[in-house]
Amino acid sequence: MEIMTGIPASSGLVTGPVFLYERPETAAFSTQSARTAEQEHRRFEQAAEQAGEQLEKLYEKTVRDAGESAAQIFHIHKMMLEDLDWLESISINIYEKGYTAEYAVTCTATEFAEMFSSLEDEVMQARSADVRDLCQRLLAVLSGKGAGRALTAPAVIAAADMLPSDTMQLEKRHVLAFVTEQGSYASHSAILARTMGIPAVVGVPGLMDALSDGRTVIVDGSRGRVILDPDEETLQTCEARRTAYLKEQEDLRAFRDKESITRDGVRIEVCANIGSVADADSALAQGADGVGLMRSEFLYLDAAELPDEAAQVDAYSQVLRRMNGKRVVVRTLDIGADKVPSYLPLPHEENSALGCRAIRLCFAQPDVFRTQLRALLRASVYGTLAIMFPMISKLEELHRAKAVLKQCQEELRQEGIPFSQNIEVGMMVEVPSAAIMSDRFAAEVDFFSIGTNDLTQYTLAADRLNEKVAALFDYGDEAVLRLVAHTAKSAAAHGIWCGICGESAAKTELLPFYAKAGIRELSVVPGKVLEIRRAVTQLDTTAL
Amino acid sequence: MKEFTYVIRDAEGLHARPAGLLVKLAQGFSCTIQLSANGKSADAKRLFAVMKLAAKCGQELRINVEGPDETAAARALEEFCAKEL
Repeated sequence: MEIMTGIPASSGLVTGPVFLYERPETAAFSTQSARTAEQEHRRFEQAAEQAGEQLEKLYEKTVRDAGESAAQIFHIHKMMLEDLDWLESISINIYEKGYTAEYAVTCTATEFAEMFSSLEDEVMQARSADVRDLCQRLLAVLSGKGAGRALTAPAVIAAADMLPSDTMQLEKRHVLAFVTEQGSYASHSAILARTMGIPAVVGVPGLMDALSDGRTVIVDGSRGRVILDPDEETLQTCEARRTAYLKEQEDLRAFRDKESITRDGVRIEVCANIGSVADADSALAQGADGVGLMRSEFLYLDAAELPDEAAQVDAYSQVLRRMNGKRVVVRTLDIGADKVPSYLPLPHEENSALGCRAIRLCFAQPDVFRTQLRALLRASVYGTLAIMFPMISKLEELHRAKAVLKQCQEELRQEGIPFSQNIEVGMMVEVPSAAIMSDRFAAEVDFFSIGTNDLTQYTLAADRLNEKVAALFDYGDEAVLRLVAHTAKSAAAHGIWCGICGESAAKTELLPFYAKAGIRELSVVPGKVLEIRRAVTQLDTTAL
Repeated sequence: MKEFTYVIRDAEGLHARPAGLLVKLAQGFSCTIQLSANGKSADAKRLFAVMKLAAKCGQELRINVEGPDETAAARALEEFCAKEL
């Protein structure tokens, strides 16, 4: 038995035999043609015609299997195949450079794919996979090799990576799950798996070396695990979990459109924590009441250079639009010396958890902070935005952050750029000093969101990633709970709302305490929204 | 010549699907159709060029139409934008 771990891309649990997907083989080819340019060009035209016919069939098949919108991509491929810029580039490679059809197509496709990769837009970057896919198709036709092995029985599809036509060539009813060595949460197979409602784990290092055809694997899409050759006991546990999982999903679905109200009529919003634009779709799909925490770090950590104002406006406004009027709480940049992007050189710190991080770092890098606040303000016209400052430990810090925000508002006003007048401004309560002083802070913000991960770590002086002190780290510790209760009470006394966005918000055993303390919003990973909503609706706060 | 502008409302911008539909629509007219956004411009009948604009949500798309059937083309494109973008 071997357990491999990757990115949990689509939840669900399944056991089945491995089907190693190999892309249809393409023969080796030479770069310079021995034929005349006319002959070579005719070869290309015939291949393109055949590829076009394949795409038409694939389109029709996909309409049947996955619907019109999933099939659209193959019409796009067909249009790419007929695009004048594409055809001109290939003609030049054949007529002027004397390339073979294969090499001409490869060069043009590489050039076009790189063009897409270089665009800043995430959606357009993904188009480079389509160009590579098209190139692969043409090469397969030119080399005269047939399609890959057909999938004839239910199996777990394993591949190094999957292009759109790879996934759709497979008989959908036989696909139990996808596992890939490369890829991310946003890659094609991950999205398709989520649409189809089947489990997927992507980005599993060493996957293709470990697997071979026909061996049994368990794919645990919720935990991002692939278990090869499971023993009898593991298989049984898995089967039991699968049955329970399916029943649970069925039960939870009923809560998607329910209101998050306790039996005695107390509203406790159940929101989602998100870390990317795409996550907003998951939040919506799970029926979240809003976004309780949008981590803005991905904009910085995934980029090669400091994201400019326009790129940030773009990301925030996309999330705001998708959430369609539901509140989106964006936390300003929260990084420290333990995790820094290459373009933002920060000196090493002995103890980064207590160092120059989050709001402290923003004060040290005023331009970075101003750019983010201006972008947030500009995006605010697209929905209901709330801005939240992380790691506030002293009142002076809150004053300073609010002053910078006010200055940015003033700048925009002078530049004549519109922004919403109804932006809630709040803070994370994650440093014990902020919880203790919450009665003072409450007078100056619109909301509190308690970050119980850090609050617990700082209160108990126990690093939550250090196994040796794992026993000390406890969200339910009385000292931590007293800080939570005090914070919620301070909020209520000043008529502002108080939520929790740490992992403990998804702990149903703590819900009664939180509800009684006056917590009125819980923000959890999208996959937990329904479970927590169900727990809220079953609660009766008068009985606590 | 006819010209109009349109601010993109689709959250994903002028992504592959609407770009494909737009190019297909444009190819049905004999006039020249030029799209501009982001300080770049493209022949609306060429898919890669249109996608390369990477026109995003909130950005302005400028459309210039010139040729014998420009009135019909402009009307069709305006309808298309309002419906798909």
